[in-house]
Amino acid sequence: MTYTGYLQLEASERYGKSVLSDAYYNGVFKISRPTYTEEGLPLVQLIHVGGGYVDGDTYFTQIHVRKNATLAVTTQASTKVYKTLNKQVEQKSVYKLDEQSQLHMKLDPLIAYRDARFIQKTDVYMDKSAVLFLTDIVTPGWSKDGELFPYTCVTSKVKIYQNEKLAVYDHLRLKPKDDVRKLLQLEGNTHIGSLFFIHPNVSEEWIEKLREELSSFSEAHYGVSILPIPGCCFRILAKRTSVIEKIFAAIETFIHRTIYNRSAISWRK
Amino acid sequence: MTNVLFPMLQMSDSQFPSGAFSHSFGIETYISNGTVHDSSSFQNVLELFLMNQLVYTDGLACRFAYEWLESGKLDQLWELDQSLYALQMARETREGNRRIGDRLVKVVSTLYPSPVFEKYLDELKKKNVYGHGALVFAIVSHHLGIDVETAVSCYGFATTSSLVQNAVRGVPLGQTDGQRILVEIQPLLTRSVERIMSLDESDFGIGSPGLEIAQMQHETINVRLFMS
Repeated sequence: MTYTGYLQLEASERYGKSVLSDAYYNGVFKISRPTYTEEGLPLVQLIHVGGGYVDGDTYFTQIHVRKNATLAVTTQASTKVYKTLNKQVEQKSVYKLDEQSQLHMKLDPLIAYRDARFIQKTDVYMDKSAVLFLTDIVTPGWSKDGELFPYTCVTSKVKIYQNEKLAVYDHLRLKPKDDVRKLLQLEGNTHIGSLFFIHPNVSEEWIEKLREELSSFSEAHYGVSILPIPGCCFRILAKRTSVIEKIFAAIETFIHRTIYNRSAISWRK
Repeated sequence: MTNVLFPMLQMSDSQFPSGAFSHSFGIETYISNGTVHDSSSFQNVLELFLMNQLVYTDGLACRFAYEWLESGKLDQLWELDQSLYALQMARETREGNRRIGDRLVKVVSTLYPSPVFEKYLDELKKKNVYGHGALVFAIVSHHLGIDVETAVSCYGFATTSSLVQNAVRGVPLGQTDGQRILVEIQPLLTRSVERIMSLDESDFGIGSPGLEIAQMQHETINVRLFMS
């Protein structure tokens, strides 16, 4: 199958250092030349050269982080989904995390414009000792008649398998026709953010401390809870992207201070 | 068995010892923050709960479980049990459903023994599965020759009735108000079952983000009547 955009990345450990050992891309996907953060961790920026996602587009991303390696991936800009009248845009991602490996994925928001239909399926296969940091934000795009939710449907399915067993299955579908702003759904908000952090050191006590750390964000509507595996899911509803990004940054700072005893990854954006 | 109505009535009784009386599944957060404060505000949340949580997850799981029993695909049943567990982001709700599910499997398998229950108990013992009420309703109904729509309807009614009973204690509401909700909700419950029958596998497990946040926030509520 030919994809509108295809990307394959592999990180490995060489003499105690993580390196981008393989990179292949095709179509509208490109990557920046990997830079190395202060901690010596390879940071890759994903670039979409086409400007936005349109009708019938298909995307596939495969990332493999090998034993003891660490990789940080971000996007260069937000993902924009435009009018999709005939066939919805499909984006599939498969991440494989070997023993003691780490993948830090910080994605810019997905912006869905008028009549956009988008589905993303993310499958993560990780070892028990591996670490995953993954964020996702969905926002409605600007519309000239001022409509709050111009898009048709945005679906996201995230499945996280640990040692071949399904541990986390997050299924989100935003369909504005069904009045997504009501209670139990977005509860008057327009933006939604999700953050998953899977790490062997995440415990109830750690989450309790995270809650204390975030208590200054009293105006934000969020929740956090421990997953069936050591890790947490953080979910937030807001009316602006900046509210979500600020709290995500605070969580990242907390993670890096408490778990790695250092400052957060400088994403260079 | 001469009358299949009796076991269904027994299972749908809110007094049935499943442990459901200890769980609000996030609704107590809405009580605590004032969103739910009387009969009509509770009914509104209950309706949204049924239209989402029951339709896309629990009720749909009951239907799939029944259909897979029909076609003998037992392995898919255990996979479904694992998916139901993995779908729950909030600890208390996940553990609540597991506890209720585990209890139901043990109690109901004693009352209405069947080879499928034997296997379910076995998988539970091996810690391959966690236990879920939706599967228990499907297994009993299928075993007794009750059709799938009735099975899903009974499961939906049992869920509704136990949430209403909990609201009577938690909001609190008058007993008559609670019973009135159980009458008024019937058309919506019927529509929800119809919707469940029309969905496909790609619809399974669609979450309700606001509800999930309420379920997560429940962990930090100071005064609580319910465990979730």
